[in-house]
Amino acid sequence: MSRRLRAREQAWKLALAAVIIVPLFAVPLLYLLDVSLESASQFLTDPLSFPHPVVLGNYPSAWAQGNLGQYFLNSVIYTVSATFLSVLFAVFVAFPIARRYARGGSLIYALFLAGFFLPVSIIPLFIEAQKLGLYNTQWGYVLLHLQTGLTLGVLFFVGYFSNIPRDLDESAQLDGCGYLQYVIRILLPLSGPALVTVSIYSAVATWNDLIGPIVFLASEKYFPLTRGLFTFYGQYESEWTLLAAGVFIVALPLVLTFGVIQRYLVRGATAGAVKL
Amino acid sequence: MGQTETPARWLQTPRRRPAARGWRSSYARPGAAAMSPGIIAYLLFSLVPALGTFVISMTNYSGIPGLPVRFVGLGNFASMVSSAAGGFLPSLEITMTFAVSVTLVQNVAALGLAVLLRNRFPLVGLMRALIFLPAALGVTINGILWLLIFTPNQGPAASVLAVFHRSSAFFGSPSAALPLVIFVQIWANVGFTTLIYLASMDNIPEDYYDAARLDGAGRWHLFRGVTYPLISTAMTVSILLAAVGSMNVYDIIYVLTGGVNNTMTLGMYMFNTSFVGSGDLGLGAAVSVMMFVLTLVVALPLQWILRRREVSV
Repeated sequence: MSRRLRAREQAWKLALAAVIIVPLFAVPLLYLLDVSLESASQFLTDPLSFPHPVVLGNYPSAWAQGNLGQYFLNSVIYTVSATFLSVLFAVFVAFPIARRYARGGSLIYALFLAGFFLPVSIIPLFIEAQKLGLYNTQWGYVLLHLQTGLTLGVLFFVGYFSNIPRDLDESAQLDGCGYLQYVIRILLPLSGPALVTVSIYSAVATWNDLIGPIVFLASEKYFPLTRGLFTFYGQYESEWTLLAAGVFIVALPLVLTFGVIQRYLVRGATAGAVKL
Repeated sequence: MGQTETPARWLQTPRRRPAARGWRSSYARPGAAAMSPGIIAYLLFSLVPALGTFVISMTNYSGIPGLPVRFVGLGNFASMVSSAAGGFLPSLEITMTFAVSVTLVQNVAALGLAVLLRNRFPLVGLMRALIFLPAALGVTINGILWLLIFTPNQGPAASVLAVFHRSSAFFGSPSAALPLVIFVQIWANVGFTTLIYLASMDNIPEDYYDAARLDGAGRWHLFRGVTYPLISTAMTVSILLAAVGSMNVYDIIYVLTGGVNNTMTLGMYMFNTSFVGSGDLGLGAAVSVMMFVLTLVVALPLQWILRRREVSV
């Protein structure tokens, strides 16, 4: 096929894709922005119009009435702590398995793999949370979200670490480098891509979890953004201009960081695909 | 994109090495000790709860504190299928409708989108990003976004319908709610499925197409003869993921309808039984076990069928 012909075919394919994708995936978000800039009365009279005049007041109102600042802070605390802890734990579980430093390493690996096949465990986790005093506490909420990073992390890191030459351990030992120092100062800097992939995957899972805060938290002051936003929706169900501003505030940081995290999400997700 | 390392290779168990060599290393003892926090956390928050589901499903455990917990054997399973308690069989039917529609439409749509977006061309990257965006936004934002668009009476979708002198309660309608929930689930996940197909298509050598073109193959024959057989592994993975995922999902349904208007899938039924009202955790766990069994009963034969038609390259 000639080059020009092929470019023309590409242009047709792109145009066809855009006709499907833009209305379904870009327009709803732009519509959200549109509504958030309208006055309540304008939205009621004509929901399909452009804002005239542009009203910015929905944003400060949503931020204050939705208590979004508090929820945002909680989400950050939960996401950062759960991701940091689970990835750290996973590294220390995975390395001895990858190196066969631990007796029963393959049994432990098999146990982590089995975790993918087992049934939904939200009910036992709820009972456990109550029995162990983790229910409706912030640190308890973090512990209950180690699962994703830990399971994916161990499976991912075992594969990754076994590609790092074993000679590195041996020469570090000869130089008198201790184990913790070795893992933190030598192994981790070599594992950047794997760490980032698992971290982002765990962070997105924790950040976006809605069922977790419904089951494990009761006090509003502990809610993360997901449940906070859903509560806000419940309170102002018909005030769409206010709600749209709130949703847009919550969505904006995700859309902005999305460009950066996208490829790591893909990699983590396709690796997670092997869980079958 | 352009990541060519296959996940399977990442996750392979390490090659067998002479074991004694590992244990003799001076890193062996501290290494084993440092494993314990991770192993304890995994046992406590993953493995024990997962197995606990089976145990709790045979008790009358309830959310009310102080009520004695008794072993009831298979009583929960019996009351679940008896017409008195009623929820299970209708939910099973709704779950199957939901899962079959989502799996089929999502994969066909993703395959089409992947064909359209597979080559490097200006703006293709933006299109790929747009369809994957819902994965980052999460169920809460995705759900509220579509609740806004499908607001009854005064929302944008209602205004469009009004032009045709029609109206609908959308998520409030017993007939429209399930199709809309299916749509939102596909909308949120089609990007991920598309990316699996795209990753797989990236691995097909251009030579294959050149050779087929020399033989005079047209566009349809290139797809049918080259692309389609060579993405069969990706197809297995994404069909299975969509099937298993859609049989177990309920968070998006929780946001959109809460399970009313014929959208009470098994997952939603499990959640509502356990955490709404008095909270029958024993019955909820029994529903979880049935979901697990259903997943196995569907996924294992499906995997067998899909693997058999795969082409080894």
